[in-house]
Amino acid sequence: MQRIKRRSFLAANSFAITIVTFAIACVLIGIICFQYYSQLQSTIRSESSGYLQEIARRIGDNIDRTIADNYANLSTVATILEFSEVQNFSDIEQITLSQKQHWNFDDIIFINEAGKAYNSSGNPIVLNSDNHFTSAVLEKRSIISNTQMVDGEERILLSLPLDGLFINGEHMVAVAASYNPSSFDETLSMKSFDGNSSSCIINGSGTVIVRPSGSGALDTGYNVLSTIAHATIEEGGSIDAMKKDMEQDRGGQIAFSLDDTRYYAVYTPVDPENWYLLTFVPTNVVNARSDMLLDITILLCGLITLVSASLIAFVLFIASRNKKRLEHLAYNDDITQGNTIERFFEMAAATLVTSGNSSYALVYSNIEKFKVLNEQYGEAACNDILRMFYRVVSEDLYDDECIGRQSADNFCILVRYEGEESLRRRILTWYIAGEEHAETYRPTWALPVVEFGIFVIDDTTLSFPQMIDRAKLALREFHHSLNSKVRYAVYNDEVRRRLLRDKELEDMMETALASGNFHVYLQPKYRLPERVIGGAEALTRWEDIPNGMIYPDEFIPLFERNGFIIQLDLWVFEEVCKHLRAWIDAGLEPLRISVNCSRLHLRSDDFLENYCNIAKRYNVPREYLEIELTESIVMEDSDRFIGIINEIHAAGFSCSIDDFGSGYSSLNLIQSLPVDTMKLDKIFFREDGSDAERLSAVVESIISMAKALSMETVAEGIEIPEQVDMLEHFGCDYVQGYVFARPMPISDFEQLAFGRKGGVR
Amino acid sequence: MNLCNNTLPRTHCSRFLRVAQSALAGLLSVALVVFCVSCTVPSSEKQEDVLTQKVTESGRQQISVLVKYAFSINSFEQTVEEKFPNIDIVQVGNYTGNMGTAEYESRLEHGDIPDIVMTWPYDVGREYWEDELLDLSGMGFSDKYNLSMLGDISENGKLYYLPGPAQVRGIVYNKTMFEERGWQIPTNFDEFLALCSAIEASGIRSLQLGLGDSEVLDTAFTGYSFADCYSKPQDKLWIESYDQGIGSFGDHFEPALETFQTLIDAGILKPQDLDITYADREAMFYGRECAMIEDSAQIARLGHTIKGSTDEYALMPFFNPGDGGGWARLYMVCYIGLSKQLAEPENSQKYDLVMQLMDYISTPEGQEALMADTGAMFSNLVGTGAPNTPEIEEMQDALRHSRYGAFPELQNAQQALRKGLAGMVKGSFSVDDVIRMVDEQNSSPSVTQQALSLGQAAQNFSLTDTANYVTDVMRKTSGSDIALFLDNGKDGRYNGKGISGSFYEGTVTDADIVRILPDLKYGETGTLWKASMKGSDLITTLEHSIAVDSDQDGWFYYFSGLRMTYDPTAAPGERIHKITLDDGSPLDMNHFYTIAVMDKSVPDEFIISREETGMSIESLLIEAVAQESPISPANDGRFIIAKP
Repeated sequence: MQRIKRRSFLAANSFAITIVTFAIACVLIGIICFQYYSQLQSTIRSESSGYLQEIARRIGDNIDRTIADNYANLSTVATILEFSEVQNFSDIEQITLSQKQHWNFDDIIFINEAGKAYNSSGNPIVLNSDNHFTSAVLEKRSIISNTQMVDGEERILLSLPLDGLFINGEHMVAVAASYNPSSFDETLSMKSFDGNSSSCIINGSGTVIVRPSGSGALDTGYNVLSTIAHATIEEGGSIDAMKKDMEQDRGGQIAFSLDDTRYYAVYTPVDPENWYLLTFVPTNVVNARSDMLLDITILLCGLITLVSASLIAFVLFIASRNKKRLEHLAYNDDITQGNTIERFFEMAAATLVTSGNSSYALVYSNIEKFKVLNEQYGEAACNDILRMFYRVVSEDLYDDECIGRQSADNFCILVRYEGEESLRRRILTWYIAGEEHAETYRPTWALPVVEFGIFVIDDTTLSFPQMIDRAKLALREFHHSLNSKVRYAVYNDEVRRRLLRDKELEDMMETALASGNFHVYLQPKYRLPERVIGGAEALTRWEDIPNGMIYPDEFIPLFERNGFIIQLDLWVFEEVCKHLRAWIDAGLEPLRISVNCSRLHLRSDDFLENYCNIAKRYNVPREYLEIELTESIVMEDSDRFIGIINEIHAAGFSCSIDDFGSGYSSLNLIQSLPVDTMKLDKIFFREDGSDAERLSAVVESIISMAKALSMETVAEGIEIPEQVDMLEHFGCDYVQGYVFARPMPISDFEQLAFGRKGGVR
Repeated sequence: MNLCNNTLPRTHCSRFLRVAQSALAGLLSVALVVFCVSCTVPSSEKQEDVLTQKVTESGRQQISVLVKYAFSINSFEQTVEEKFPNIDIVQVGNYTGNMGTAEYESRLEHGDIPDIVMTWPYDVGREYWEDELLDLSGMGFSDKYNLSMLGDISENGKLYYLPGPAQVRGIVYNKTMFEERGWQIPTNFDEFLALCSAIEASGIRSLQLGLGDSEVLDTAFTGYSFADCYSKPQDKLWIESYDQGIGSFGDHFEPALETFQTLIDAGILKPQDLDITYADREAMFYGRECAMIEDSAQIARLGHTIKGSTDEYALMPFFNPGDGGGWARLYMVCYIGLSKQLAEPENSQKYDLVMQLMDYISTPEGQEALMADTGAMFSNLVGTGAPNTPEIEEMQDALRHSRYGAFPELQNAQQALRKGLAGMVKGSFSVDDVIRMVDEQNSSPSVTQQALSLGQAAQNFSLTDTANYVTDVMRKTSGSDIALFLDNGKDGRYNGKGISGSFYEGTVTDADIVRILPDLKYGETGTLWKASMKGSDLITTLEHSIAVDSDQDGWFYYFSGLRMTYDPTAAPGERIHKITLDDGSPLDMNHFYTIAVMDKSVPDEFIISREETGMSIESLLIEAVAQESPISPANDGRFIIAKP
């Protein structure tokens, strides 16, 4: 469970990193785009603002000019009237009508000195004007009023003082032209915005003087400042700032939202009466083009962000896919589809980290002769075997256990270790499950032998390869067979140390041989019943200069395994030949020397040639040379063994069988072996006193049988004189053992055998 | 009537039985007990007022409209409610004396403003506007009005009212008579004088203004001198400076006084006219006793609809001496303002509806609806102007040329002028006398009569609280079993006999007493009667009330000495759900009770006997408030308004 969590945590973590990276990238790109957009927007806004002000100023100028023109026209009319000596309103009407053709007024109004007003047809009218207008008229000033009602409609009055006009005897002090406010529409309208803008004229307090016209005109309300104050004024503007501008006769601009529409209001002072031109333009109209530009910018920014994000996403995706693929490669075994060894290492490490008090074992499995199987069944079938193996083991594993394929047919399995017995049972279970599986699906299969090397993990600081090595090491040594097809071996440290020693020795052996660190020792064989030296066995000693003597027990099995024994045997043989030659040359009666011949020699059919060549080289009579073969060779292939003995005889060498009795050879075997000498193994003469009588009976019968077959007998490992007596009694020919002499350097042997040193070296 | 008295307990009883039978008896009995207790124990909550005697349909938002004295918007209400399915217009009457101005000012002062006010005159309670009324100058609908009019009523760019339509007034003449007699419509002052002479010569009064109401003297004075003395820019400036005490009245108005004298001399104004009231001159006019009166097209129509006259009536303008055309008098009917309370966040839904309504009012259709009851009104909406109604055809030239105006008054000396004019009509004052009198008052304006403080009101009274107080005083003072006082009317109807206003927290003055009492439209004296009435008749009275003016009924009474659950929206006869005497004992249908009432406010036929005490209820109240100050609402839960 822990494992899964940990893995998902790892996965989530990497996913989070991806997302965060992605998000940061997007945000960064977004910010850059936004900055750019804002910059562009503010530039465009400030330019449109300038543009608006410009247009408003032009309209303002238009108004000023229009009013000035109207005053000029009115002044012309006044002059005409004053100088044309009109008498009554019918005269006036004529002039008014003719003037109407030239300019755009509604009617002409005359105001007498009492303030009474008449229209151009002489009809009295009431001036609905405020005191401001009234005072101006009476004080003979020009004035504009917007509050005149004519025929139920509002009119704008432009009034000009008169001097010498009398109509019907009444002294007219002012003449005024009335205008329909809509006649200002053209002046107020802005063609620039497709009729979407509207303008009005307001006085300093915000009250409307001339209302905006047109269908799309904003409802300004009576007081535009109140209207704007009620609206949502956009940042950067305030109604107070606008009022202040207006007080100081300055133009400006304010943006606000009313009824879900955003407007710019541009205010520009116009000439008469401290009036202001106020132009409203819906911002979307002003910004139509720039908004399009900005929209495109946003779109582009969005696109860039999107593309960049997609690119990053793509790269991340590819990277993640590759990573997954690599992980897959690294973690998924291509044959079993299960864990690779790397994955196994990770999982096992995770288990061990959290193992607490529970102990685990690393099991290394090896399928014997898998290569042979490959040949036999084909690769596909063998892969099936591997898959099956993986599968049956996997199915038996607990959550905290794991398996991975290391190489070819080798698997590593991390299992709980609850004693050897329980592990044995599990291994057996696996094999049985495999068998069942095979029976079900592949009845033709003969399951191979599988061996399991077990390393009980007592030191979690070891690396997995080290652990695997140890499990493998175990396999090199003592196997326990669970049945004919399953073996296992538990690693212990002794083995490891010994193997290390082996390695050490192997590293040294060639050099040692070349540099003369090997010595041939001779152990004398005493002939019975004379009890004199009748021969000797050549043995090897290895003098490791600083560390002392290395004994054959230690290195012979090693050399047998690594094949160096062949070299060593031949060297010993040569040494023996060398000394025999020396003895002969020294005129001594040579003794027959037996040399051990490892079974490895026998693998080569012409192994005897080497021996013959050496003997020939030293010209040693071959009757002095005896080749010792161990009993175990017989067990392997007795026919071949007999053949070899015959060849040895044919070559002129004597032949002995060594360690007879140590194996399982039966007495019956003896008769079929044409050896010259039989060496009884030292196990017959052990000093523990067990079954001494029965053994002595066996020894007696072996000796008598050998005698019957004309074989000489040599008893090895004899340490006490009583045994010598007994052997003598049985008719044994030679005794070799500490009871007479230990193996000794050749010089000592010469001393012992010949009373002098030989001539070698 | 007995039914009501008996059905109520039975309803309770059957409800009890039903509940008792139910499986949830225990729990529900407790609930029922609580319910019953809450029904019978006097509520200490504020006394609720009857806002309307109409049932508000569900889904409609009540929007209250204070309607100016003597203005009618019944057709408007109907049109609006048809057009706006979410709106229920609730008219709040202003039926107090003094044209309701004191009442409106009190409302402004005490923040008791309905959602919409339609008020007149304009210049009332100016100091409270900013706190109590919304500034309309920034609202889109203000665009729709003529700037000249808005300019007149704006305050430093702020606009607290929109101009309502103005009544077009002039000289209403009997068109049928004119045609019969071959009288021609004059085109100038001289022709007018000649016409009058001709009519007078035929034995019929020419123009009967009805000078019994002294303000009518203004009509004659201003109407025939408007061109020379009121219409010109200089005139306004002169009057403004005269109001500041500068100059002599004669400097500007001597020609006007001369013209007035001319009217007297021509026999158009006669001393006996000083005794003729509005109502009198109407009667004379409809009775063909006079050929002309001063009024609006409404009076022309009323002649048909109310008085059953078959004559045709129409308007002609005022003609001024030496002037080239006629003049129309514009009589501003109302100014429309909105309560500032509407802008409070909790009223946002109502605010939106009111804005829709104001948008509607600011359209020609809306104006038409607003004018429908009055007729022939001049709209201040841009491009609308005067309606093309046949009655005012003769006025159109004047209206087209802006020859119209509201008649201004002198700020300080109008009373002196009226007195002087009356004297001129009587022949006792000369022009110079009048000038002197006016100047005298203008230079030493009498200090406005300071209202007399009577005592304190501890808190605001609802209208019902106020009426309860009034009836309690009447009952106590007269030692009666019961006292009744009519409500002055709801939903645009009024009877002139009922309680009209409320006491507000703070000082109570004699003006407040006048304000809460009715304007006594039908010749009532406002005195206390102690009447004897049979129990069953009392029930009938409470159900049906008294019929006034063309038999309008359906009013209801406030009361003392009774406890009543009453549904004022139900049809008369089905209104009383429960009634007892104030001690909780049942009303005896056959017992005769003494009942204190204002004169002519209960049906005569039920009064077995009465003692006309001659005591003015106003005086009783003045005394009572002075004695009992501080006064508080009774809060005895006597009047439970049953919901329909």
